[in-house]
This record gives sequence, structure tokens and C-alpha cells, in this order.
Amino acid sequence: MLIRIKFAKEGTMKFIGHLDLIRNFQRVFKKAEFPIAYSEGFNPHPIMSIGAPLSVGITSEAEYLDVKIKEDIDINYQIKNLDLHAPEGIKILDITVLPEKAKSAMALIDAAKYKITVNNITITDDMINNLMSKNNIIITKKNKKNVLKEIDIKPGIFNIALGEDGDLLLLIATGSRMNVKPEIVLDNLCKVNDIEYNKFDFKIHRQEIYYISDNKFLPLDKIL
Amino acid sequence: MDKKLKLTDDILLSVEKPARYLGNEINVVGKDINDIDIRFALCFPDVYEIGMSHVGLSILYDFLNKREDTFCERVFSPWDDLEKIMREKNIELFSLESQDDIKAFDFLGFTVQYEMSYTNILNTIDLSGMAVYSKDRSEDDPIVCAGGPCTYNPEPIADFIDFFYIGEAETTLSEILDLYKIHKNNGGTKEEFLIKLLDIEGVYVPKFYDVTYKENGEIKDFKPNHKNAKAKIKKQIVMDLTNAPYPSKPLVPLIQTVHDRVVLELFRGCARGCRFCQAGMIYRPLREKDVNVLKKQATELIKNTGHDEISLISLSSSDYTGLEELTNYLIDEFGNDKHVNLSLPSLRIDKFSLDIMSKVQELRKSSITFAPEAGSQRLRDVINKGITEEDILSGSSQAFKGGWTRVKLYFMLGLPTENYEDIEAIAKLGQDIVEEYYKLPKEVRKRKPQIVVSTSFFVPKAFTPFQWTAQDTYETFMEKQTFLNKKINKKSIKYNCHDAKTSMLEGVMARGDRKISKVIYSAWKNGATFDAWSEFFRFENWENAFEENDIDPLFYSSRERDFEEILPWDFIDTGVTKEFLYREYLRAKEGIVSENCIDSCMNCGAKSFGGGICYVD
Repeated sequence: MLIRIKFAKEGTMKFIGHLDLIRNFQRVFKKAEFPIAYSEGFNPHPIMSIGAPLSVGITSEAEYLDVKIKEDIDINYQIKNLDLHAPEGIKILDITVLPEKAKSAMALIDAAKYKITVNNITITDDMINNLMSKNNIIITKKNKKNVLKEIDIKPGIFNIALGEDGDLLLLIATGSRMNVKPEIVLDNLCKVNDIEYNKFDFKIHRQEIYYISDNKFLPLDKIL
Repeated sequence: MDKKLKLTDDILLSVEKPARYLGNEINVVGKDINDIDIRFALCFPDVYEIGMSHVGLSILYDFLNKREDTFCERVFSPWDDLEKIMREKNIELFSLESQDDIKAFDFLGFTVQYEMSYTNILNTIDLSGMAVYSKDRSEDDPIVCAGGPCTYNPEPIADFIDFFYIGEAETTLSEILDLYKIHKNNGGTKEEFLIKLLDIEGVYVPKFYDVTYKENGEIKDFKPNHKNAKAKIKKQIVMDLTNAPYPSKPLVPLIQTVHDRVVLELFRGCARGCRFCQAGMIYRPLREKDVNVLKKQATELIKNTGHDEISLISLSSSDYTGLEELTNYLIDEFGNDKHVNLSLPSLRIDKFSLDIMSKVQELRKSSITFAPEAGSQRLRDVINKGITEEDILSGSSQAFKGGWTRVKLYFMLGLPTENYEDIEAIAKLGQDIVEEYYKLPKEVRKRKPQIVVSTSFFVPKAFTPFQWTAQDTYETFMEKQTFLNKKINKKSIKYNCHDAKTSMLEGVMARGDRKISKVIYSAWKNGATFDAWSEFFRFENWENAFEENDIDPLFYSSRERDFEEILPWDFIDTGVTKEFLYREYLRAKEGIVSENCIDSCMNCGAKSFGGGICYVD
């Protein structure tokens, strides 16, 4: 049986990279005596995967970990149990049982929403318009063959808006079909407005991860 | 709820592995500094991932924090990327737990595991904003202390350290802290405290001893200059290991370190008596931990850490009397559906250990390891390495039959009395093992065997029978290595070799006296840090340091000493007598082997501790 664990990654945990995060979860499962299933073969490993790994330095209140379990679990108990054993900064929020033929998080993800706290500079609606009124936003990126390629990220920016406290809200493409990093959007936002981009002026926080179904953005744990 | 951090996000996000500097691990200890009397900064002077893999550090951390009046926090050497930023921005070194400056602590204590970390000790003191030489530090600075295997010859770093603790911390370290607490409450100078320390066993305060030298550079006299200073410093060890404190909730780093695993300590000391091995001599007598306690600790530790590997550590695991019972228990308890692997270093390869290893590595057969140390039986007798060619060949043969195809062999070049025939014997032994493989019937030989021969260079150490011997020079080492390289049949054997420069420096520091302090200081001033890391090690830093101080390194490394000479570490009493060591040295020269402590007592002197293997029938 597959389940999807929703968790927050906050505080000093933002400095822990993806592979170390996975290793930490392995230990959490062991400590919590959680019935995770192991792969077969020479070198059995616990079956788990994270759909959209979070970059180091970014916090999140909605990360998703897909896990295969070998027996039924009491969901409310396990949320508490896993949370108890998780490192400081990892908060277990919810567990959803996935239907038999559910797509993996990795295959499902289309977008993510970020809330960005801006320091030292001020972003205005005009600045956002300057970026979004462009026909395309071309960036160069190395592809898998290590060749530089030009990509238009404009179609991957679904929405940029200013929030209440001058925070920037960003809904952008995430996942295997198209992936736009928030830092790239911020860099381009600065560029079109002739502001020097300093990545430390922006505190990035992921609020949700979505998949698109019938033109609607649905959070990853909203299973239809 | 966010933890207070010393470093800002922009710094943390611009250095490699910021998690090295956070102190947010699982099972980390937090205490309110208003509720405690003693702040102890415990430093492993190397990078986080190395220090956090060291079980001794974990034991000390637990031991000190069990005291309600003490808060022990950790310090490691910042990696060079962070050090650069710290020096540019004048950021002082801080502890991981509270993230407070080291200067705010009562003690800065170093665990000194290898000579090549000496410059990192100096760098740590300097980064903390203190003077490197003890005599230049102020009353407000923390008291700097050190312990660990290297401090059995404390002299090369004596000028930087206020006091040394010789032996295992679980014994009189508590007395030191009790004394400090009273001293701190009553007020008094650092000097007054150091004088009080002279009453405690195992403590060496270098400033209360004077050394004079003969014209030829040898020590003329080493004696106390304070009436309370003891003429001999007696090493402190735990006799009841079974009931000794052991961390049940060790720290679990959030990033990958060298060893991420549960460690069970089978015993301390070693029964073997290899003549080159310092650990085998200074930790005598052998003291075992009860098997039932180990079983209990294994369960507790897996539960409290979530690790997926248990490692049994000791100097010679095959000698543990409860080994079979323990391994069977661990395999049954954790092997199957709990998915915990068992790792068994330092096993002698025989039928029993191969059986265990088969059970442990059911499907995945990793390599098996032999450490014959010397290629010929003659030289193995000289070093008293109780392993014969027959043991190695039959062990390999059994391993091949059991399905292993990889054999690793460790040797030392430059052992006392070594000649070129002994070196050639290394190549031959490797080849003989290859041939053992081809004795197997054709149908079971599925792949080519992988035989890996590694050599290191022999470094004579204090408190071993070879403490009087001359180390080979750099040139001789490299000639020997080149010779062996030509002799090894590369078609079937892979040969790992090294440069001998660090071995030569280790040779100087392992048997250095107080004059070496200046050399270490100069080398550090010249830019030496992380000398144990080949990417940072620059021999010029040291070459220049010897020259600047007019010190000939060969005087320390490649000079044969007389029995009568006062050795820099003679004032430390490890229980093993100098007479025994010298007897062993003479026997070595004649190639006479000595029995190990299991079979018979060679009267080394460790019986004076009143326990351990010396009193087991």
C-alpha cells in the first residue's frame, strides 16, 4: 500500500539537502517502528520517494513523501508517532492513503506556490508588470548533455503577485514536465527592473505543491 | 522556535555543508547556562564529519553532560571556506550547541587522535580569539586541556596546553570538574587552579616541569619545579567497563558522516602485544564489557538513533570471549526484517569469522581483510604479529570457497630490521593468495579475484618496544616502495601506495620533545592546517618550520636511542614498564616471539591495575 506523508521543513532543517533528508526519514521510520516496505534484491532499501526535492535554503509547509508500507496503519497514531521521532524542524502534518493505481508524486507534480519575504529592496506591482508584460523570458540552461540551451520560462510562471506585507507570491511550474526555480524568476525580475540581484535579499518559503486536473490546481494530497 | 545561530543565512548558504555548524542533531543536549556551573567546549580538531564519527567523543559528551552542573558542547575545525569568511569578518569560533563564543567557556578540551591534527589545535585556539601559547593567554580565557592517545607523549604540544589528562576520562576527570567548581565559586587565578590540579591523578601541567638538554640535543633532566608536581603521572583507566557510563542516546548527525552507525565497544586494551602498536600497549590491560550489557545497549541504541548498522569495535574483535553469543544474538534480533546490518572490523580470518560474515552478508559479499603488516614470517616474528603465512593462505582459501573474491592486505614498510627480502615477500604473499584462488575448481571461479595490497610507512611510537628505534628516512621509504611496486604482479594485484612525507612528520611528532612546539607553531604560521588532508598538506610549510627553528627532524625520527637516554615521555606511567618494553625490543631484534596475554603473562606491569585479563584464568 502506498501512502503520501505531508510534512513541513522549517528552521535549521532548511540547510539539510535532499539526500540527507531521505536518510533522516529512514532513521525516523526505524525509530518509530513504522512498517515501511523494503525493496527485494541484494541490497534492500526502504521504498520511499519525494516528488519535488526542495533546494537547500528554502523552507516549506507542504512537502510530500510517498512511502510503501507493508501493513495497514492507524493514520492518526502514525502522524503523531512519526512527528515525535522526526528531527526538530520536520513537522509531520498529514498522511493520505493513495489509491491502488495512483501516480507517484514525481509523475504528478505540475506547480508549486512560494511565498517570498523580501529584504533590503522593495518590489512593486509595476516591477512585476515589467516582467510579465514581456512576450517571453529566455534563460540559458545546461541540458543533460551539458550543452547550453535557451528556454522560455514565461509559460512556467502561472502567477506573480504582491501579498499583504510586501511579500511576493509565486505560482510556478515544478516537476518533470517543466521546472522553474523561484530563484530564476527573482533573478529575472531584478534584471528587467535594473536592480542588482542578491539571492540573500529573498527568503523563499514553499506553501504548496500542486497537480493540474481539469485546469484546476489541486494540492498533492487532494486525491480525486 | 528557531534556533539561535551564530552564522547568518548568507554565510551558511555560501559554505559547503552548512549543517556542520548548526548543532541541531538528534539527541543534541541543551541546557540553560544559568543553571550550570561549568561550560566545557569539547573539540575534535578536524572537520565535523570526522569528529562526529569518533566514538570517544560521543562517550565524553555523554559523560560530561550526565553531570547536572556541566554543559559540554562541541567544537570542530571549520572547513577552509568558512575559516576564510570568519577571518575576513572577524567572527570568533563558537560551540555548536549554544552557538556561543568559545571564549565564554570555562574549558576548551581537545581530543588528540593523530599527530597531523596538531596544527588544527593551534588554529582552533587562534580562531577562538586566544593566544596560541599558554603563557600568553589571559585570566579570562578558558582553560585549555587535552587528552587522547597522542597525549601519552604530550611534549610536542606542551607549550599550547594548560593541562593534559592522561588516560580514560571516566575516572578522575570528574574530580577535576568538582575541584574547578569550588575554585570558580571561591574565586582565584588560573595558576592557583592549576596548582590544585597537581593533587589529582592523571593530570600533567607542563608549566610545573622544567626540561634541560644536553649539548647533543638529548634530554639532560626533566623535573618538577613545583613541590606539588608529581614526578610520575599515572595513566587513568576504567577497570569495570561493564558498568562504565556509555551513551544510550548518542548524537545522530543530520548529514552523512564517515560512520553513521551504532557502535558497541567490546573491550578496551588488547591482548596481542604487537610491538609496533601503541594502542596495544597504552590501553593495557584488556578489559571486557559483559555480553549481556552489550545486547541491551544494542537494542537501546537502535531505538534511540534509527541507524541501520551496528559495528563492533575493539582492537582485536576475535579475542572477545562473548563474540559468538553476541553476533548470533545481533543477527537474530536485528538481521531479518529489521534490516540492520552488522559490521565486524578487526576480525582474524578463520572458519568461525567467515561463518559469521557469511551470515551477516548473506548475499552481498564484500571484501575480507588481512593485516599481516610484514611480508615475511621472519619480520612478522620481529614485530610479534601473531599471524602465520598458513593462517593467511588458509583463511584466503576458505574465503574464496565461501564465495568471496576480494582480499585486502595491509602492510608496513620500514619496520625495524627490514631488508629487501622481507619486502619482496609482500609481493610473493599477494601472489600466493592469487594462486590459492586458482586452486579452486574451474566451475566455481566465476570472476577474477581482486587482491589489493596497501602499504603504509612504519612510524615508531612512544610506549612501544620500538620507541628506541630509528625510523627510515624519507628517501629509504620511497626506495623501498618503488622496489615493491616493481615486484608486484599488477595483472592480478592492485597496489596502493603513498607518499612518505607525512609519515616522516608523524615520526618527528610522535617522539618529539618540547622543542618541537616551536616547529608546530612555525608550520601553522606558515599556513599549515588540516595536515591530515592531502589536498591541504604542503610539506614546504614544515620544511621551512624546521629550518626557521634550526631543528633537524632526523634527530627525532631517524635516530636510534640508548636505553639510558631520558625519553620525553618517560615521566608518564602507563603501567607497562620501560624494562618490559626494552626486553621486547631486544627479543624483537632477535626475532623471538612473545606470548599474548590470553596464553601467558609476559609481566608487562599492567597487572598493577588490579583487574582485567591479568586476573582471568
